[in-house]
Amino acid sequence: MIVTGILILMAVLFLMGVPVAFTLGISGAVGLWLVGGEGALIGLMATAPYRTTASWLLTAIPLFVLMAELLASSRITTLLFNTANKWVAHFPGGLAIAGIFTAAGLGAVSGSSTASTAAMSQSVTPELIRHGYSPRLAVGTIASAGTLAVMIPPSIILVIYGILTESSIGLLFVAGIVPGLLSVVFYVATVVIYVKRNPGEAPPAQRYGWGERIAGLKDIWPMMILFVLVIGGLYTGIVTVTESAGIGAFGALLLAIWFQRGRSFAALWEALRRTVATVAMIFAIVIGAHIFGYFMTLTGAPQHLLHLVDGLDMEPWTIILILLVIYVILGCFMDQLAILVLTVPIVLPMVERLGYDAIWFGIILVKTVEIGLMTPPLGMNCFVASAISRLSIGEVFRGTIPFVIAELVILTLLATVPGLVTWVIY
Amino acid sequence: ETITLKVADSFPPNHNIANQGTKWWMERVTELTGGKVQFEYYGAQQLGKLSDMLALAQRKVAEITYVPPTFNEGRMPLSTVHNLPGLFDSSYVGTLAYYDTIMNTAILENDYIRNGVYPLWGVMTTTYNVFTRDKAVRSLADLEGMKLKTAGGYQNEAVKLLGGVPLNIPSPETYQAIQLGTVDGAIFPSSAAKSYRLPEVAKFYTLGFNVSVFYAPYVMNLEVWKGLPDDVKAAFEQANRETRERMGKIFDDGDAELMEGYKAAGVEIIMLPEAEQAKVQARLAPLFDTWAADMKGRGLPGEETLAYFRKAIAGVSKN
Amino acid sequence: MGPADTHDGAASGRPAPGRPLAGPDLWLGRAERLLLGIARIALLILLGMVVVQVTARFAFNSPAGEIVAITEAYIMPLMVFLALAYVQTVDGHVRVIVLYRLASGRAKHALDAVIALLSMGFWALVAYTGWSEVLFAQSLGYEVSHEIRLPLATALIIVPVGAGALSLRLLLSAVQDVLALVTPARAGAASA
Ligand code: NA
Ligand code: NA
Repeated sequence: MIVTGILILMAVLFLMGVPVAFTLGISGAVGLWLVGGEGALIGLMATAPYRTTASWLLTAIPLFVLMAELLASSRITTLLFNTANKWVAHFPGGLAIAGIFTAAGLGAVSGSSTASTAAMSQSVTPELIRHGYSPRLAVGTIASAGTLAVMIPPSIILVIYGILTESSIGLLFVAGIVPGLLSVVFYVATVVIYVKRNPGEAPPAQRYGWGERIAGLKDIWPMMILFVLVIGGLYTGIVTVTESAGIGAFGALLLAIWFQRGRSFAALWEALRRTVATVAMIFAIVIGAHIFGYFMTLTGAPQHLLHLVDGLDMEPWTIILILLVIYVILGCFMDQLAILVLTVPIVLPMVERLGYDAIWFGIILVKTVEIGLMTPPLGMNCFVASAISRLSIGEVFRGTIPFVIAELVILTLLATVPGLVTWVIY
Repeated sequence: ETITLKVADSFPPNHNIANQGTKWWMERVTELTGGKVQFEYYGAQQLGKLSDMLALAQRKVAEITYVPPTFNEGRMPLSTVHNLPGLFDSSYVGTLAYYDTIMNTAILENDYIRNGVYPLWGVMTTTYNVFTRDKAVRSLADLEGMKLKTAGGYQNEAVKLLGGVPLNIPSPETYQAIQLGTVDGAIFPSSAAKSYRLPEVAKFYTLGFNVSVFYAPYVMNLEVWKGLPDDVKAAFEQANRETRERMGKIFDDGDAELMEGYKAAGVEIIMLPEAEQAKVQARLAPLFDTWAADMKGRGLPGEETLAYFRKAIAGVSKN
Repeated sequence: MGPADTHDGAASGRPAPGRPLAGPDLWLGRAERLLLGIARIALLILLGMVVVQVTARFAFNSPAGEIVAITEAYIMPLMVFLALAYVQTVDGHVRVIVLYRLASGRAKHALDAVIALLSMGFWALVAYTGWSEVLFAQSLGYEVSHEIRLPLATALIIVPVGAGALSLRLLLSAVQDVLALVTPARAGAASA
C-alpha cells in the first residue's frame, strides 16, 4: 500500500520535471517517514548522505571523469578519433564501434560503470557527434557500452556478489570475460544493423588510403602512452584498481600540460570545474537512490516478493525466468548494489536448491544489473550520459533501446546455455 | 504485548557470526521471553555502512546494531585495549574477560553509556595473522620490507614495528591487490579471510604474530534498554551470556576446521617458532606505552583498564 | 560538454536579466563560486595524493601517510556537497522535461516554484539533520579516526554547508518564480 503510493509519488515528481536525484530523495524520505516514523527518517537522513560519499572506492568516479576532461580539453581524444576514423570509416558505424572498443578497454581498468560512462560521455560522445553520428545513436552507444565495466573484470559488483555468496571472486572474474566479450560482439552487431536500417544517423562510409591511415598513427602516441601507463600499472600490481584512475588522470594532466603549453593552467582549472559539477550531479543521484533504497528495505517488499516466488511449485527454468523479470523490474526503482545486498541472501539458496551454479547466477545477475543501468525510470548510465552530453533523458533512453534488446538476447543466451559462462571455469 | 526490535549489521549472509551467533541469539531471546520480544533482522549493510552502525543505534533507526570498536576508534577509544597484541590466544578467554572488563572499568561509562548505547553480547574473533602471496614468512626477519594490507589504526603501528610496510587497502580490494602483487600480503583474521577469498590468492598463512584481535559486539540504544521490563532485561542478559560463551567456543573450535579448509585450498599454514613469537612480542611491546600515553592524553584511565583486562584474562584462564 | 555547460547569470556571479531579487542572487552566486572553488581544489588535492601514494610505495617502499582516511573523511564530501548548489544554478541536475516543456509563461513559473520548494524541503532536511549530527559529534568529542585526530565535526559540517547552500538557492528560485508570477510584466520578460 505504502510502496504503491510512494511509487506513484515518485512517478509524479519525475514527470513534473523534478531532478531525478531529488525525486528519489523526496519520495524515499516521505516513504521512510510513513514506514519508520520520524526516527527512521531523521536517523537515515543524518547518516546516509555523508557516508554514501565518504568512500575511497568511489574516487574512481571523479578521477576517471577528470582524466576524460583533460584528454578532451587538450584535443587528445579528437586526434585519437580522427585517426581511428581513418581506419574504420569504410565500415558502417565504424567510429561508434571504435567507441565500444574504447569502453571495453576502459572497462578492463575500471570496476565502475558510472565512472566509465561518465568518462566516455565526456570524451567520446562529442567526437561521434562531430563525425556526423546522430546524437541519439552516439549517446545510446556510449551509455550502453559503459555497462561493460561491470562485466569485464575488475568489477565492484562481482566482488560484492562474491563476498555476499562466498563464491570465488577469481572464478567470477574469469567467468565474466566471455560474457563481456560476447556483449562487445552483440553491441557491434547492434550498431551495424542499426546503421544499415537508419543510414541517416551515421556518416556515409568513406574509405581512406593506407598512406593517410599510417600518417594518422603519429597522432595517437599520447593515448598509447596513457594506455600502457594505466593498464600496465594495474596488471603489474604497481597500482590498485582505485589508484589506476588517479594515475590515468595524472598522465592526462601531464599530456595536457605538454599539448597546451601556454594555457594549461586555465584548462586545468576549467577541467576541475566540469569534473566537480559532474561528480556532484552523479552523487546527488547516488544519495537519493540510497535513501530510496533504505525505504524499500524497511518495507520488506522485495523480500516478500521473493519469498512468494520461493513458494511456487514450478519448473526450475520458470522460476529463474520469474526471478530475472523481478530483477529487471527492481532495477527500475533501486540502486543496483542495494538490490544485490537485499535479494541475494534470499535468492541464492533458492537458485542452488534448483540445481543451478552460484557463479553462473552471479554472471546472469550482472547482466540484469547492466540492463537496469540502461532502462527507465532509474537508469544511472542514461542519467550520467544525458547530463554530460546535454541531451534529454528521453533521447538517451530511446538511444539505448536497440542495445537493451541486444542485452535481452544475450541474457536469454546465457540463461539457456549456461556452458557459455561455466566452460571456462570448470 | 510484543516488543519488536530491529537488528542491523554488516555481515554477509553466510558469515559465521550472523549465522551461528546473531540468529541463535535472537531466537534465544524470543524463546526466553516466551515470544514477547520479536526481531526484524537487517544484515549485510541493508540499513547502512559499518561506520554508521553506532549512529543507527543512537538514532533508533535500528534499536540493536553491530558496533566493533576497531572501526569506531574516534568514538570508543578505551575499548581498543583489546587490540593490544598477544594478550590472550583463546577466543573464549578473550570474550569473557573482555566483557568483564567492559562492565567493570571506565569502558562502560565512556564508550557505551556516554554514546547512548548499552553493550549486549560480543565475541573475540580469531587473531590477525599474516597471509602472504608467494614468500613464506617463517621468521620475524622474513617480514622485513613486506607490503602488508592492514585495517589501519594500531595495526599500522604494529606492522611498522615488525619491519613491514603497512598499506590501507579496502577489504574488498584486498583479493586483487594480493593477486596482482600490489601488496605482498595482508594482516587478516583467519575467519574473515574466508569471506574475502584470500586463500585463493595467498599461498602462505603464518600464525603466531597475533597482531591484534577483532571484537564483534552488538549494542542496544540505551533509552530502549532502560525502558525494557525487568524480566525482559533478565532474559536478554541470560541470552547475551549464553551467546558469548557459545561463540567463544565456536571460534576456538572452528579455527582448526578453518585451517583444514585453508590447507585443502593449497595454503601452507606456518606456525612461527616459539623463539620467533617471543621476538615478535618484544618488538610490539612499545605499543602498550603508546596506547597508554594516548589514553592519558585524552584524560582516560588507560593503564587501569589494561591492568583490569590482564587480571580478568588470568582469572578466566585459571577456571 | 557537461552539466556545467550552460552559463546563466547566477553561475557567473551575475543575476540573470529580468529575475527579481538581483541583490541576494548576486551574493548567493558569489558564495556558490567560492564553495565550487574549494571543491575544485579538493579534487586537485585528491589527484596529488594518489600520485604521492603510488610513488611513495613504488619508489621508496614506504606508505604515504593516511591518504585513504583523509580522502574518505574530507576530500570526497567536499567535492560532492560544495558543488551541489553550483550545479543547480546551471540546471545541471538531470531531470525529465517531457511534460515540463509543455508548460509556458505563468504555468512554467508556477511549476518551477513548486519544484524548487519540494526540492528545498528535501535538502533543508539534509542540512538540518546533518547539522544535528555535527552538534552531536561535537558534544561527545568524537574524532575522525585513529589516523586523523581532528574533531569529527570538522568533516561532518561539510554536509550542512553544501546542502544549506543548495536549499538557499532553491528557496531563492522559488521566491523569484512566485514574484515573477504575481508581477505579470516581469513574468512576460522572464519567459521571453
Ligand atoms: Na571492469
Ligand atoms: Na533501470
